[in-house]
Amino acid sequence: MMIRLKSQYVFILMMVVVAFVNTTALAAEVPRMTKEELKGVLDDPKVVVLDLRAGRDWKSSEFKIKGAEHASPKEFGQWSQKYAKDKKLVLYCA
Amino acid sequence: MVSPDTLILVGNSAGGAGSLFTVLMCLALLLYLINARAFSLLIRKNFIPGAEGKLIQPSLGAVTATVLPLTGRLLVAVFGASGMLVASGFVFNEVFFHKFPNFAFAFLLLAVLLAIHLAGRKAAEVSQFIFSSIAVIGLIFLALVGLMGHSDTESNLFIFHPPIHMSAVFLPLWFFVGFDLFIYIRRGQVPASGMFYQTVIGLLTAAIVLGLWANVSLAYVPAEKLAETTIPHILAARKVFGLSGRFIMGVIVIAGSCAAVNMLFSGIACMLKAMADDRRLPSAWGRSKHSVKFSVIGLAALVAVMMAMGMAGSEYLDVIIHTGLILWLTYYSSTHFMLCLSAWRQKRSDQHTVVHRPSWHLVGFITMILGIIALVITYPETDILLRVLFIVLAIMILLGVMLTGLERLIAKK
Repeated sequence: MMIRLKSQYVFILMMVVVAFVNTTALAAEVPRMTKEELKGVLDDPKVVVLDLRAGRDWKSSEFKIKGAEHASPKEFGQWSQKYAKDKKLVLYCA
Repeated sequence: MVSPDTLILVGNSAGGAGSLFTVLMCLALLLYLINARAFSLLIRKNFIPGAEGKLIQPSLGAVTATVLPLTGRLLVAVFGASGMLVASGFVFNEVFFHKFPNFAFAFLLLAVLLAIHLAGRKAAEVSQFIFSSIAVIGLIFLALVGLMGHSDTESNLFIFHPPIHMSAVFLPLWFFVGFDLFIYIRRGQVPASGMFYQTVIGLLTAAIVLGLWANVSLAYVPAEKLAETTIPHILAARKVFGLSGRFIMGVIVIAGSCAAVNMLFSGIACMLKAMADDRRLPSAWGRSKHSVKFSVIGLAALVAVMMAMGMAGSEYLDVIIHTGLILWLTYYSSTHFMLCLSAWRQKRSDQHTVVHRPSWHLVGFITMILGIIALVITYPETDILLRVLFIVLAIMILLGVMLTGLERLIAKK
């Protein structure tokens, strides 16, 4: 009984560990922009902000950058062609 | 009924239907009262909850008797729970504590719910009462604040705005899905007659609270905005009571998610045991003393895997949840159909003691089928929904054939 109980709690602990490992995703070498930098260029007509969150990540969130367009990461081919080459695309997903 | 998903549906439906919302919700409630009557009849006819297969098998076969009650509920339990927990994670991160990762909170909540179930049935029941009470009291409080306050938005309550969204008209059919889980959980604790009245009280309470909140939302938020947004409940709470309203809605969403997931875990685990007792699933599962706990661990593990795989960020999550809900409604309609058949057979065999009249179940069956067709047609991505529906059914029928065959093989030995 003791062993069974212990295994149940080990299972819970494992789930919590998986959660924390999962949330610390490692980013590759992608040019990044701070929120202050973005704030400074939000009114620039050459800057297009794209919200790449999908599913519940986008639906459940209350915070959306003003003027940002919602774009599906799976439809990269479509929206990458949509904007002129001189536009600066700022992508965010969290 | 108090989950964040229901609150979104209530907001969207109220925004899309305007002043017609209350009428539509009352019609949906009426249909669910007929459903509750059908389930109470099943219990009175000694079909124990989870063993409805006895009613389905003679007409539709053993595989359908296994697949029909199982598929919709399992899909909603795994995918719906993933979605609700992730939504709670976002609310906690955005409303209460920015530095706490949303996914970590979703996993933490899942771990807490699992721990509650492992602590025993009593702990799960007490927690269910606490979670649902917090959500219901919170919603009533916000609605009362809204009723007493002053809205600076032009009220939509008495506006029959011409472009009524057709999709919003049928949304109230989703509000009460899952009421039958209560019957599984209370099995053996409450007599059949008491079970019916308790279900009716639960349905009426949910309708009053959701109706009140929907009308307050309409009074404070423009209808078009309510119909389109993905967070109508948070928008309305903010308009009603400012920052405090947002905090209270945050608590309601988290408590409502916990109540819904807790109910799904308890109900589905009890249903799996009842189905194993009835030999729809391998009967060894039903004989195990800890089968309910193991089922909850299995469900929690599936939900954890779905969340870790990033299912919440998938565009298919909502389609899969809706597929599950469609199949759940199909199960309700099949119950009516079977009760109709059983009453007609009794009539034909000249039995004088006809237990029930088929007319109510015929109404329930036809209305439910028409509702399902309307929900599928008005769904924004009907083609994807139908594709997922066929794939899920194909997989479940295959699984049903395997399980039924396995049980027969074990029985022969």
